[in-house]
Amino acid sequence: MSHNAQFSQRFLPLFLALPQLLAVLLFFYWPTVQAFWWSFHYVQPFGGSEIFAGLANYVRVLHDPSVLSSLGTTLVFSLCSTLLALSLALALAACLQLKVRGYKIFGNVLIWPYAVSGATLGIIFQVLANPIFGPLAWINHLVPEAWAPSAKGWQAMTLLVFAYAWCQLPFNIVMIVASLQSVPEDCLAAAALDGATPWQRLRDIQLPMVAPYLFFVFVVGLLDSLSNSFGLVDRLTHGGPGNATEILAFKIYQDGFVGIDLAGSSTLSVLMLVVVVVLSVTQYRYLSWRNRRREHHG
Amino acid sequence: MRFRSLLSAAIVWVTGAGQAYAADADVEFWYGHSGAAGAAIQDICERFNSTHPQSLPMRCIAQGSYEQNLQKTVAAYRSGKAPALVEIYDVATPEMLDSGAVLGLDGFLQSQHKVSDDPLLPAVAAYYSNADGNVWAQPFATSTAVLYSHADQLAAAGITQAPETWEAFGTALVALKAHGSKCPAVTDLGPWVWLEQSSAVMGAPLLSKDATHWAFDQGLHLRLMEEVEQWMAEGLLIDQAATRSGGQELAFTAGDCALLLGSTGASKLIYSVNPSDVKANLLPVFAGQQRAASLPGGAALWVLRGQSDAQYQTVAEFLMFLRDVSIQTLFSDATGYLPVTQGAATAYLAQLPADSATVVGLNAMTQGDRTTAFEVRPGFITLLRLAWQQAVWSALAGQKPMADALHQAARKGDSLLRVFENTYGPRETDKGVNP
Amino acid sequence: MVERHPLSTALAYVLLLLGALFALGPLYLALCAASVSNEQILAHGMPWLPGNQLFVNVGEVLHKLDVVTLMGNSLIVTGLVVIGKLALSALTAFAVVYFRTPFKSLIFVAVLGTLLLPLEIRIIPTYAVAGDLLGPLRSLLDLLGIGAIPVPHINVLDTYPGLALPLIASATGTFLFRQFYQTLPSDLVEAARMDGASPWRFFVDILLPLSKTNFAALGTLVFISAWKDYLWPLVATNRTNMRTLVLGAANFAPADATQLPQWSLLMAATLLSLIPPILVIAVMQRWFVKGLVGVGK
Repeated sequence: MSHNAQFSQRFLPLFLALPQLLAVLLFFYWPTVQAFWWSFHYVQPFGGSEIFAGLANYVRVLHDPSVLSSLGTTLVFSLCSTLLALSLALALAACLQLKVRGYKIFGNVLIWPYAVSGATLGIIFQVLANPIFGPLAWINHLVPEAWAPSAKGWQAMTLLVFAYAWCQLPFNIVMIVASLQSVPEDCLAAAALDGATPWQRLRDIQLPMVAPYLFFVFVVGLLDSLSNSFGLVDRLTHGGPGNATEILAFKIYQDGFVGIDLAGSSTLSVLMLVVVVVLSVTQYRYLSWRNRRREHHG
Repeated sequence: MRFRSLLSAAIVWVTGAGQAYAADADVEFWYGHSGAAGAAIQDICERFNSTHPQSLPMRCIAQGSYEQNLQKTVAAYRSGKAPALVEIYDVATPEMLDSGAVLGLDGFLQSQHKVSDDPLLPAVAAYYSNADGNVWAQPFATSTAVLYSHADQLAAAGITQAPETWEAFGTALVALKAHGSKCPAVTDLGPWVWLEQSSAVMGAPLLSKDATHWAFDQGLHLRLMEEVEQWMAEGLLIDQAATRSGGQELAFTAGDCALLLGSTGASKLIYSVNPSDVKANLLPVFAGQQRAASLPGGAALWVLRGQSDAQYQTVAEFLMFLRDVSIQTLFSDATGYLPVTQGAATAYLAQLPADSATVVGLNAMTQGDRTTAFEVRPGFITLLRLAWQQAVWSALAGQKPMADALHQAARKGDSLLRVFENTYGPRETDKGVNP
Repeated sequence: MVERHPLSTALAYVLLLLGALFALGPLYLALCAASVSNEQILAHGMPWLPGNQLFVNVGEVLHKLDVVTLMGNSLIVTGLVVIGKLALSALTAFAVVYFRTPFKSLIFVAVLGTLLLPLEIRIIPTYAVAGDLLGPLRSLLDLLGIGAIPVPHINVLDTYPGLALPLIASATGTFLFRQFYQTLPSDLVEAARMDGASPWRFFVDILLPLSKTNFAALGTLVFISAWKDYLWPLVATNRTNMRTLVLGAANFAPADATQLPQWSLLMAATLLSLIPPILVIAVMQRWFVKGLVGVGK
């Protein structure tokens, strides 16, 4: 934007942004600094003395097998649910953009799951997954004890991945539909004239063009799955059985709030922050690289 | 400017709301119950308020579960908004004792010139006492673990007596299954029963002598958990999630399962269907073993610092009110929790059959000559419980042998002991001087 | 418009039907469970078809749960979040895009940073701030050695602003508006400056009217996410009469093992809490999608 297109007041913008800066400072930066501080101290939950611990919390957390297994669980959960949601969304978005009769109704309905919070979905799935009276109970009639998500870790994880993918589907569909729409119509029309089937057009023209976008949706989904899955896990599996579904966000809450180990929990928060920063920076660099390339190509 | 007036209105609203909240016109009591116990507490509060017009009104607020209540108390205390009185579950006792946030019960009542002629049950009081023998919190919603059985189902399988040993327990399970029971015994595999209470009654030490290491990864507890693993693999001991109701107490009460190791606090529900058929007994021990006392579980009421004199007067009145025999009876009747004073226990026992859960439970806490309190209180028991649970489930899922799993949990517990030590420094028995 | 292939059309229908089944299945089954009696669920399992007990169950939920209060709380809190977020993000984006100032990138980076650590992860220190709003200021003064200055305690826990503020303190809306402002032609400002209009006049008279659709888009999106929030209201409310509907419905689940779970009532309560956001999504879909795409970009 040219210089003429901007106002020249120096301090007015600071004043305008002040409400948001204050809110962000109070409810974001201060708590974050607090977490950092705690991760370097021995913290008594009721206040009182905070003894400097150096890196002791980091050492203990990184040596804790349950943290490592939680990291693994998080990785499995995040990757599986994000990929599942992405591929389902891609298939459905591809169908939607064929604009078959009634596609608007389908498009509308497919987005409804966005209204359901993780916690609420956890409650619903808890009932749906019940091995005695849930819709899957017939499995147990055929093979006794075959379906027991509260005892079998892999079943609990499958349930969680499935449920979270359900939550993520609407966002992915909306984003992918938007990206498919950004593919110039004349490209597609030309291909159609050449006799390309819708499937060929999707594979040869649209997908390559929206691939960077899919990557972006994937990273956003991955980031979301790190934190937004808390309510779902809390209500659906509670991290169990054992620690089969104890993802990091849940562990942070569990250690900090149930175990009142503020230092250990904060240390995990900081580690999680590092993961999120790395992912975000990757994404940001990728996006700015793509934007630059786009500008070059007009 | 409209925006600015809106902003100032918002500021007034925010600060105004804060001030209204800071009023000292009543006394808050936070508790961690819902259902029947929650209703009983509300009832007791109403009775207190109507019979004590000269005191400030007690405001009794349900904060969800025990865990949630503790979380909120911690956070509220840090920001200076804590209640005057709070119910904290047994396992957080070390954290409370060392918190510097509480007033010891004995000293507090003395300073308020309250003397009770009805002392607390020694077994219960010991659990909430420090090394000097001073009681730091008033026991409330106290319970202990017993073995519940359906006499009819046992009899049908040819067993005339509820099992007193783990060996007999195993035999009974096999007999029940052979007789067609789909669920000989049900469990939630909770650490309270399987780790703490079962070790207590067997006199199996949870901690090493010098209290530097957890010791449950060997000896009797390991032996018991290997039995449990076997029982679960053979379909003799059933995970509660595999029952119709999904809860061990409900499954037992409905008669779906024949045996249950559970809390006396659930006895209200458990006796609700067919009371004459339900029997309560002491938890089993291994054959030939000396029995020791079970632990008083449940919760206790802690007086928090930072309140006004008038509020403390009311708290003292309320604590004495809760000790009243009629109030204790009312609460026990409504919930199944145990009475906590000698007078109330005597009065209550007189009207109950000898095999009721309450009588058995009170009896269980006085078995053997061992003191029921931990010799040294380990910290972070909540986290240790989580570690234990995760270990047991991973063993049951066949990921590793039970011994390895328990060993791993114990070592995690050890590191937590170190952290606790570093956090609170060397033990000070009477931290927190009374007012 | 692309022409149709019968085979791909048929395939698309099959996939879309399966997708719709996937999306609506859980909600439909929840509805079925909510429309029979609890005894029937326990005895015969969950039904595949709706029963006739829906209104009985809803009636009982209304009886046991103060739905009016909870719904009111949810509406007030989401309303505050929507208004707060719209106002704050529009202003901040205005400051970032339309001024030549050294603070520009500082402001933007400060707001950008909030994306890094979600509320769920910093919930405990956030709670501490909400319990003592000026606590950070006090600590800061202490650190500077001027702790003697009295700073009042302001506690916003259990208040509507307290429930709303942490949700307002995030960056998503600012991005949307920044993106939008950047697409507007630069002659707008040049013309305004020629006319000697103040920045504030420019904002109110030109920018705001142009942003209507963005307000609608962001508004619907923020409404949905604020309505769904679970952890913060769970932590930040002590009184039952301050709780939100999502929380109230969740509390229908048995809190301790000795309570018989009322599955059908739980499902009925859960569905009640879903009606407002689903209505918003279904009816205001155009705005909602625009908001989602705008925030995601």
